[in-house]
Amino acid sequence: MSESDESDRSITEQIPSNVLDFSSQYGSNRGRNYNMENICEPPEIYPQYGDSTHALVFRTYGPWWLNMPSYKQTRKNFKREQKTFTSRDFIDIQYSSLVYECISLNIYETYNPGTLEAVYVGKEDDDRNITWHRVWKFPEPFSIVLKDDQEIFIENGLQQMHDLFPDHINSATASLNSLHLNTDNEQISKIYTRHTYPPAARIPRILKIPLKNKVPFPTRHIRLEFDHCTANYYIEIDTIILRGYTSNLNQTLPTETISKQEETFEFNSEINLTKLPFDILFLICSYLDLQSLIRLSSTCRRLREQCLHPLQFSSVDLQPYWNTITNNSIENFFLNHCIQTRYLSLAWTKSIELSPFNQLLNLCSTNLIQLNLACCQYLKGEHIEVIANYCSNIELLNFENCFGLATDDFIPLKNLCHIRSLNVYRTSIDFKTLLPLIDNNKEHLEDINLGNCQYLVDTIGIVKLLFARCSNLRSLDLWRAKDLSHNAYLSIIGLPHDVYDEETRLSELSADKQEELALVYSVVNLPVEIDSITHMINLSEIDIGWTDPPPGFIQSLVEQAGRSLIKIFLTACRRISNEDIVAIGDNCPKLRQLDLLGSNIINEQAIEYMLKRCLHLEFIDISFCGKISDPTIEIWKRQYKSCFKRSYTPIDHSDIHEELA
Amino acid sequence: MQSLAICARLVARAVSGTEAENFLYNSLLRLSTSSSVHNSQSSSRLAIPSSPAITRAVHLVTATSGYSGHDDDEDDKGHLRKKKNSTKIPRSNRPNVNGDDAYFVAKNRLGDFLGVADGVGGWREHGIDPSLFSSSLMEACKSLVDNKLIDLNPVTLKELLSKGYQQLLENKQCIVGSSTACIVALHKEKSILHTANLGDSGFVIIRKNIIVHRSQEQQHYFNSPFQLAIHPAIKDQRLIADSPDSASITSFNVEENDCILIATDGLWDNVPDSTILEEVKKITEPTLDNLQLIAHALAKRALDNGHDPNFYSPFAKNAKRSLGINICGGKPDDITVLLAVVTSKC
Repeated sequence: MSESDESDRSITEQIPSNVLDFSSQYGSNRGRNYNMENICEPPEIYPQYGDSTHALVFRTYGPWWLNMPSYKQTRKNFKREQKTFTSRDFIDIQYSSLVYECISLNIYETYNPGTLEAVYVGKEDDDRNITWHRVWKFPEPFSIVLKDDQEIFIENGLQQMHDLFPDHINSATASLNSLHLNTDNEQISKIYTRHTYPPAARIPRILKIPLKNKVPFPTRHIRLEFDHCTANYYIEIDTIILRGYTSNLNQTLPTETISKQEETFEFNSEINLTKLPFDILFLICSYLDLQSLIRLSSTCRRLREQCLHPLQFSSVDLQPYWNTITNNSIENFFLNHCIQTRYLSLAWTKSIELSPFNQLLNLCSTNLIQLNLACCQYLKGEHIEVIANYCSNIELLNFENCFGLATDDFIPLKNLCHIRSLNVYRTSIDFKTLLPLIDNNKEHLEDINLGNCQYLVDTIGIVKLLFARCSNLRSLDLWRAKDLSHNAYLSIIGLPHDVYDEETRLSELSADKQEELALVYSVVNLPVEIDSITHMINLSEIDIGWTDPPPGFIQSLVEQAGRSLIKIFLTACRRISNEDIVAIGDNCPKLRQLDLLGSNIINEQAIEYMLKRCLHLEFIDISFCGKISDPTIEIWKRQYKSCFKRSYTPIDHSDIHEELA
Repeated sequence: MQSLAICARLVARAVSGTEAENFLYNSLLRLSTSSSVHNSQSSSRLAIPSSPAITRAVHLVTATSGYSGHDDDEDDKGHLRKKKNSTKIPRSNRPNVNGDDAYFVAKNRLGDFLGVADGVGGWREHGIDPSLFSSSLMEACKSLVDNKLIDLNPVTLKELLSKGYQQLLENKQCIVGSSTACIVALHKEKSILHTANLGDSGFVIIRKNIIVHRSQEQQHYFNSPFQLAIHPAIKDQRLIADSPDSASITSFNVEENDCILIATDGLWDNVPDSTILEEVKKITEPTLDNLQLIAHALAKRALDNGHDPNFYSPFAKNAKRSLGINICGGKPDDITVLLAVVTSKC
């Protein structure tokens, strides 16, 4: 290659052209606020710092979510250690032009930076199948660019903040201490994460991930994974720029292939594993992560027998290995070993064909208690039929963000009758599946997540059935559920309401929907009136964020069923009254988490009243609450040990350490 | 001279070129000339006669001006915001805001978009900054045009208003307030001006010194215009909230050199049509500088008339007509003026 060729080439900077897949999102599906697609635009927030409607925002953050019983329930069966996998959210991005030689990935972090966990690059074959290769993982070297263009190289991401800002060591440590006072640190330590806490200084920055010589093939697909479980608040990203050469000079590709982080183990020859009795060896093996287990099994025949014992595969969580799970690996490995599998997670996996899926579930059949299929976009109606046909004993089922499935694809699930936990966040499921399913499982249904389900035609009927029949309901997530009218809210907790409103609603549906609904209503014998919900003695988590409950609803809810409530999310419920908050104080002695974001009504007196009574409160979000002043929050922070969340729209920080001090 | 040469090359390509090249040519030409008025004139002389085959895409050259009302102190540049002495509510320094008024100017590949919104001042007594709603609405509309809105047809602007309003509802911050809104968009290829109007802001289209098209004012009753509103918990019978669907929409074929004037009621209440025509007539050459001068002049006339107790203003005439009351003088208010000319020149 001549020198002139080299000088002719210039580095192209691309913003994402579209988002192919992601795990969760804060925004609704309608507008652009807080949506994933916001990264498909040039930087518009940077170098400001704050909570912006124009940024990418995931649904959750921090340890708060992971410490809820409903979440712990879904994790407790997967006992095998997987310490190196702490990703909680992901996004798959496509760029418009192929990049032949990647230089770097620039991530504009404009709110609560420092949670990036891994970067993958996708290799597209002729059939447009993408294989994903990891090119970076925290704490490998990266650099951050601050708004004064100062670039700081970070060799090891586990460095403490005062290593980066030695001049500000006092303010940094002081702020660390204050943060410790305001959070229940024990909680955080229980959750394994590789990030130090807090993960980064709260300043806008460009995170630069070096990709030079790391990608030995042309690419236009990037995947980012985040671990935001130690973040103080929602993480937000302005855009993600891929830098590299888009012209192909037919040069020899970089010789260095993707580096594998092979660790070398030193064995002490004195100890001979194979001489251990079976039960000891079995126990040891059960502490290994899946990858290590399989490596160990390939060392000798005896160990192979021990390690690959079917009981070692009673719980199989393949999420950490999502990019290596192929039709082939299922057919040639898991089909031989998952004979007694009771708990199975295929979350985040890509394109498993019907045949191996069918065989695997047929093998597990009635043993299977838990199945996690979060973000499996390859699922089709046939896959659902397989689940319904073989796995009749399933209790915990997760279809989180499977937005590829059509409404009617879910219907086979309605006959399952052991369901304790159902997560259908952001799917197209509707009443035809949900009403019979809820009715079949009314005695034991504990957790249900219907967040952001945009096709729920009959939200009111579904919620009514839940409140009337499911006495053991523990958690209910109705985040952004649509069509929950003023009247509907009153009707589900036995408050006086207008019956004609319900008739009007039904008459406004299309004729065939009315017919379908009438049929399903008669099958489940939908209750017309609910007198009270005092039977819901276990209700502990309720999330009705971004819906519009009328004033008085919460008051009545907590008076009847508030004794066990530990989490109440009323995000952007603009009409929640001060009486509602006072009632929470009077009726929810166990309350731990409360989100009141975006209220212009709630005043300081009501909050103070509640703070004095809810002694277990660990977290309260009072962002954008117009009647609560910053100085008051400062006083509360000293007085109560709860963590007060206060977000703000993007601003220019004059002093980058202001946030910390 | 360098830019001239580039233009000439582009013209040559465009004449023989494909549609895609045409599009590129149009956009590049505009890009290369919007920075300098002098260059644009020379290049336009070159471009137009030599390429009659090109379908002439039109666009808008737009000047903006305005004043924050109740404030006699004139801004030298005539351009924007004055803090009201009387206001106790702290307001952030938002761009494109005149008092409680807000506006936006945006374009996408299909056309040019202009909009004004007049935040209802009554919110001040509830302790709410009225400009928050109007400016947020305009910002939302601008960002939708910049990024998402891909179509431009007679109903698009109603959708834009509706989506913009939806964005406000979906903001974490509870944006309480209400506002009128008037949005127009020029379809570049078809030379059609689509409009949507809700309330008492409005627009006129002036062709050869005659008003050929204008918006319909929408009022519930005198001085109570239609308005988009968000007030989740304030119980006040006087509050009005209209749906974005009530916006009146029109589509109008425009010609080159048509003048489009969009303004809030601060102008319409204080400047009669005759004065508007008189001012707009002064535009000899539709350059940005000339338009800017006239936009300032109109805004200044509105400001002066508004504070003139003896002026028989359009507002006073309307009061007489609607309520039969005799009042005199202008109506001091926030003023926002957007003056645009349809042109194919670059």
